[in-house]
Amino acid sequence: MKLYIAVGTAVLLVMAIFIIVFVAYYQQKQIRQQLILKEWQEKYRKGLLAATLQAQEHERRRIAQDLHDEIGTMLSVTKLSLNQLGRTVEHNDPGSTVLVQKTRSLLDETIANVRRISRDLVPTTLERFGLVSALEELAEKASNGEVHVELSCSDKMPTLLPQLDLTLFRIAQELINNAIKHANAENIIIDLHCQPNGVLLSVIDDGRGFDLDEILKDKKRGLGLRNIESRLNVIDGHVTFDVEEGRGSRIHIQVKNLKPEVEVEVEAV
Amino acid sequence: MLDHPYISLILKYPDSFLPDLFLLLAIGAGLVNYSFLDRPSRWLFRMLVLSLVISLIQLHDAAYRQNNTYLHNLNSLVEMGCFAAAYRIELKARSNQVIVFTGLGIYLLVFLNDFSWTRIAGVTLGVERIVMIVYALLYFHYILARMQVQNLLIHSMFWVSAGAIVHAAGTLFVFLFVKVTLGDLSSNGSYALYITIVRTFSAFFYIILGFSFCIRRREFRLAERFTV
Ligand SMILES: Nc1ncnc2c1ncn2[C@@H]1O[C@H](COP(=O)(O)OP(=O)(O)O)[C@@H](O)[C@H]1O
Ligand SMILES: [Mg+2]
Repeated sequence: MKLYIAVGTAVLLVMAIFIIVFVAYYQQKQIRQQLILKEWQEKYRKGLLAATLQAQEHERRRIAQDLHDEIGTMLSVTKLSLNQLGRTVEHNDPGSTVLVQKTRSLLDETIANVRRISRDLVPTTLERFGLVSALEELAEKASNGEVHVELSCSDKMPTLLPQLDLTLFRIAQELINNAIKHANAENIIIDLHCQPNGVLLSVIDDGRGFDLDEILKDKKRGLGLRNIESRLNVIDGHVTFDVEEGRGSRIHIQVKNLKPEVEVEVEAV
Repeated sequence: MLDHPYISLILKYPDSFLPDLFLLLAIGAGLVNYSFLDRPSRWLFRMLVLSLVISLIQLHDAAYRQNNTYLHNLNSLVEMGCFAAAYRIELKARSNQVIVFTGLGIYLLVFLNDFSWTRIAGVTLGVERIVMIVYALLYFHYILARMQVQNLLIHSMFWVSAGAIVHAAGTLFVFLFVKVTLGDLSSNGSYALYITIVRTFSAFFYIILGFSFCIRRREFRLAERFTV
């Protein structure tokens, strides 16, 4: 009897220890697999996002091209025939000359607008002369009698990956638009600084500010701000909103200038 | 001073107070980390405190040569109750809670039938161990099915279950066949052997419980970092 008890106890103990070891081992293995799966999903999500952004740029480029090449050409041709028409009218019906003049100036304005829109759709300056020039141009265009936009940047900017350039430019565009549209700001400063292995872009305005939490709570609002975050997600960047109602907003974008995981090719026009 | 009944008892049978020493240590560990304990761990802490109280009464009874075997049985009831409470909170699935309550119910039925003032209720203690093993297995199944614990090795309930299953497996047969093992005090010294086994496993279990209280602190910190 005593032998049975001893053997039984020993068997039970061995089984218990086996179960414990098995549970610990198996659980850790499963957790590791879960982690791998999660990483993979994250990568996939980023890839998808990058593809979406790339498709967006492609589409813009296509629209810009169509506008410039087709509508632009048509308008030029229209202007030519209008000029001919003008000469005929001047001979036969001098009373209508004013009307022709008016039409011509409307047409000129339309041509200029089409040019501007197609140029805005594709950041040509960015691709040709780099981020600093593009931001300078942006600041210049945005400045008018009411707002003053200023760019301050460190002397030596490292060359960035094209994808980073484009992302930073689009973000700066959105932030400046916001500052002009919503903040009622008088002065806007774009600040571009290099950091050890990265870049810091800040957009600072002296407008009325806003409550970020409130905006993000509403799913329908804040699309622009959300877009900034998804753009940064693709390149492992980081945004800090130093904002508050009643004072100017300071928004800081931080990106690493390293080789990223997801490649997005930016084609030349 | 030395001839006080308590002291002389301890001096006479020092090894029988080994589990109590570790019980004290475990309670100390629980006190130090008390603010980090979650609800299941608090139930286990309560169990230890009650066990200590029972142990003190046992010491008193033994010192004045009164019967104290019924306290063994009461201690088993306390252990079972607190254990069931801890697992009921930890196992969040409805079906698991039903099993926890069923186990407790069976134990209580056996306890009521088997309870005795003057002998160790071996069957009750045996059933307590079986139910403990069931709880521990249930818990293992639960964590394997849920996969929510990130690092099992610093998860206190895993260690509690591991300690419980080892403790229960080691002492199950000793209590199920209590007549053979702890029944005859006189004969060829088997009582001494088996009571030593029981004490060793109890001491081991108390160590594990104390350890589980200590790792609660780490797990708590980790959880805090993840949620911030
Ligand atoms: N610089 C800013 N100053 C004040 N309010 C701002 C600023 N930027 C954003 N906001 C507020 O946040 C809201 C969301 O901005 P955004 O996501 O860019 O969407 P949208 O520009 O399309 O309205 C705006 O409607 C505005 O109320
Ligand atoms: Mg906007």
